[in-house]
Amino acid sequence: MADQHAFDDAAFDGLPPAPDFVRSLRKAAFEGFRSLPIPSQETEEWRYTDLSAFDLDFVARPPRHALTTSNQPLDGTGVVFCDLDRAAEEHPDLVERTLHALVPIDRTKFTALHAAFRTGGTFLYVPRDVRIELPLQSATSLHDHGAAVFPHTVVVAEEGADVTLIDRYVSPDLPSAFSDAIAEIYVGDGAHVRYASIQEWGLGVTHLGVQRARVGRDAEFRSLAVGFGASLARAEAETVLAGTGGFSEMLGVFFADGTQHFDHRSVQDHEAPHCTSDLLYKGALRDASRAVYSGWVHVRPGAQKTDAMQTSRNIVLSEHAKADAIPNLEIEANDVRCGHAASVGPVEEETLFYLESRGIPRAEAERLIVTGFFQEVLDRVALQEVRRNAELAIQEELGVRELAEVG
Amino acid sequence: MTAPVRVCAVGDVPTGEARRFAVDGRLVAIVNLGDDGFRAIDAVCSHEHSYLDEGEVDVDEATIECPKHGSTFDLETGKPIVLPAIMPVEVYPVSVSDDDVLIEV
Repeated sequence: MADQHAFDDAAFDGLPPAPDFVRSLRKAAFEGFRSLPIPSQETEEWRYTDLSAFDLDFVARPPRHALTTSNQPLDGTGVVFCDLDRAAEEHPDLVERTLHALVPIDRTKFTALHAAFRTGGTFLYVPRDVRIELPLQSATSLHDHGAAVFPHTVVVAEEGADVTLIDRYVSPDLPSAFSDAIAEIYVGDGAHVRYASIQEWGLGVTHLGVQRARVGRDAEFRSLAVGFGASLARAEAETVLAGTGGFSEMLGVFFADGTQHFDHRSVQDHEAPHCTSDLLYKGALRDASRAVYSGWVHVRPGAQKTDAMQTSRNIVLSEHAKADAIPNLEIEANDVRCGHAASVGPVEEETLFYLESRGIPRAEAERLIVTGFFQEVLDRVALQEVRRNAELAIQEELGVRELAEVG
Repeated sequence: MTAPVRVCAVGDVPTGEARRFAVDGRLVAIVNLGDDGFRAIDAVCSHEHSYLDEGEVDVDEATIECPKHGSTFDLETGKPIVLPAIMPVEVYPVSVSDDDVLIEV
C-alpha cells in the first residue's frame, strides 16, 4: 500500500490547462517528484520528522479559496490580488519570473509534488511606491477526507511598496488529509511587507509548509507564524537578507496538544552587510504533544555589521509533552553581532499556586498563563488587525480545550 | 463520560484490520477483531508520530503493532508490550448497535 498513491500519470494528465510556462514547470516537477526520495531522517533538516513511511495516498484537490481586500478599493493602483492560476493567465510576465524562483521545485520531493499538482493559490503584486493601508486576506480551506491541497502564495512588493497579507488555513478534523504549502515573498528595495500565516488545519491533516522571503536594500519584512492545527506540521520559514540595510523580524507562536507533532525550522540568511534580523518563537505544549524548533542564523562572507538575534521559548504544561529547541549560528564574517537564546520549561508551580489560591481553577489558570506567555509576541505586532486575528485564533484554541475539559 | 458517539459502520473496518477516524477532537483507530468484536484506541503512537491503524493487527493476541518502530500495544488496556514506546495510549469502550460502531470518549 505504501508504494501506491494517487499522484500517477493519469492524475497528472487530468490537470486543468495552464499557460506554457506553468506546464513546463509541472512537467519538470513531476519528473523530480518521481525521482527524488522522501527526505531521510539521517539529514539534519529532517532529523525530527520521519516521513519514510508516509503514505502519499491522496487525491489532489483545488483548495477552496477566498480573498478579501478589507473593503479598500484597489482599482487604479496597479495592484494585482487574485487567484494564482488567473494571474498566470493574465500577468504571465509577473508570475513566470517569481513562481518557484525562491522555492525551487527540486528542493524536496514535496516541493516537486507541489509544483506538479498545484492548482489555485494567491498572487499579490504591489507596484512601486504603492501603499496599501489595510491588511489583505487570503483564506484556504479543505473539506475532504483523503484530499491533498497545495496552497501557494506569491507576494511581490516592488521598490518602496507597503503591504500586509494575512494567510489563513482552515479545515475540519478529518481522518486523513495532506497540505503541501509554499509561500514566496519578494520584498523590493525600500519596501515594507508584513506577512502573517495562521495555520488552523483540523486534526488528521499532515502539513508541510515552506515560506521563503527575499528582502532587498533598506527593505523591511515582518512575519508572524501562528501554528495550532494539523496532526503533524512541519513549517520552514526562511528569510534571505539580500540587500544592504535590510531588516527582518520573524515571530512565531504555536500551541500543541493531544498527540500533535510540530517541527518548526527557521533560517535567517544574511547575504548582504548592515542587515538586522530578529526572531522570536514561542510555543506551549500539553498532553502528549511534541515540538521541535530548530533555527539557523547564517552570516555569509562579506555580510559585515550584521545584527542577528534568535530566541525560542517553550512552556511544557504536562509531563508527557516534549519540546526541543536547537539554535544554530554559522558565521563567516568577522564584524557582526549575533545572539541566540532558547529555553524549555514547565509552568512555575508557584504561579499556578498563586492563581489557584485566588479561586481560579487550574485549567483557567493555565489558560491565563499561556495567554500571557504569547502576549510578548503579540505585543510586537504593530498592526491591530493582524494582532486581533492572532489573538482570536489563540483564544479559540485555548477556549475549545477548556470546554472539552469541562465536558 | 458522555453518550456513545457513532464512529463508523460495522462494514467499514474489515476483520483483522484497523481504520482511522476523527472523533470529537481526537484521532481514533477502530480495530476489528472478528468474533471478539471491535476495539478503539488512540490512532497515534505514544512514542513518535505514527498511525497505529496503518500497522499490523494480531487478532489472537488482541494487539496492534506500530508500523514505524514496532511498538506493540495491548488493545484491551492500551499498554505497550514492546519497546520503544513506554507510555500507554488511550482506549475507549466500544459498542455495536445495529450496523453502527459506537465509542465512549
